[in-house]
Amino acid sequence: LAAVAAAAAAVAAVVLLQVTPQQDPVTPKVGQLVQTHAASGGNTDPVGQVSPVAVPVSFRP
Amino acid sequence: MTAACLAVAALLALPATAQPATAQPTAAQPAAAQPAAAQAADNPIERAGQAARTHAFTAHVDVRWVDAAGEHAVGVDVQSGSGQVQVAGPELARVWPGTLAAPDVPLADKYQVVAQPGGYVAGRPTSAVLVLEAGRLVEQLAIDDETGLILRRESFDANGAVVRRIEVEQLLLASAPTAGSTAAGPRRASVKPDVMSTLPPSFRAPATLEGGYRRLGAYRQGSAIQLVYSDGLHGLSVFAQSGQLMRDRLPSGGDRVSVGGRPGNHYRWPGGDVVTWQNKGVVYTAVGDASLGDVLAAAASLPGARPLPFAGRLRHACRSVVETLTGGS
Repeated sequence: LAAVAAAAAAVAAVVLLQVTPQQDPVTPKVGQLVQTHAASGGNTDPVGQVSPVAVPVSFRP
Repeated sequence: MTAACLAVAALLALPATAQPATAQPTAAQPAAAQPAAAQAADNPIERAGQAARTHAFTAHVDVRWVDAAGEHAVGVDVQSGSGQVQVAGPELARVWPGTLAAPDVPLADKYQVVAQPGGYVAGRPTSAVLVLEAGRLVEQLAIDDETGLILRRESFDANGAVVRRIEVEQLLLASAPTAGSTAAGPRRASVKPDVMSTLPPSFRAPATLEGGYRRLGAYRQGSAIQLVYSDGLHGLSVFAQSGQLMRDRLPSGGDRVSVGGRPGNHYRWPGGDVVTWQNKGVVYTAVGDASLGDVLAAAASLPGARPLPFAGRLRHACRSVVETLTGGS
């Protein structure tokens, strides 16, 4: 009986792996990521850092 | 864009799109350097940072960049004091310094820096600093001789065309230098970065990327992991998210590129380029200050995810089923 239960569990696991998506859908929020990068700003001169902030990122959602 | 902006754009269009006044130099042919120019070339970015910490000023800055839709121009008023630079307006927004510490990556590892006498910018004498990579002009800076501030910064593409230009058109220095301390005030980003000391086992974060980029840190940004790289001159943030890229839901207006043979979407922003693509279960978004070619080369050297073991895949499948049954709550 235990062997049957184990086999059934294995089959269920395999079926589960087959029918469920392997990866979650991802849509990067590009504008937000650009703002995050710009805020990090550890590598830019003070005046150069103006550019990403002064102009709102216009990527449409 | 207002008529005034159009007029400014017309006035500055020629110098913004023409080759720089200096012929394409090579590192082997530096021009005769003057004391101020040599000082500026030592590390111009670092020196500009020191200058902004110790000088209070107000300035009008002209920002221009070129993308597929053409050239764009915007004028911005900024003010500096107490070691911060802020965009002026109804709500002051701090733009410098950033939330992360300046990287300790030597400029000279990748670039050659050539100093030579410069012209006048905003009515002030400057030294020209040419930043070259393998003899090709990448950026040209105009450094204020008196303060060390960068008054003009131009970025060039592989063909030598200007793709981005930031120029101080008016500069008013305050009479007394500031103490250089960090003062309280409005901040654009007041949240401390969420440093990740260890990464999930499926993620791989190379210590170096193609093009001389070195990893400086990893930070949690919501559902994404931000890997921060620098090549000494430009910053590169790589945002990694586990999953399947929904390409049709990305913002419109980009163009298709190849990232190491994989399809990617490219966008240009006022400070650089963005590329989004997928590699073996990881959705990457690379945001860089460098040229598109540089960003693409670095992006192509990022690996995909490590395959999950059977137990991990089973756990993921069970979680998916539970989320489906409970409506994702």
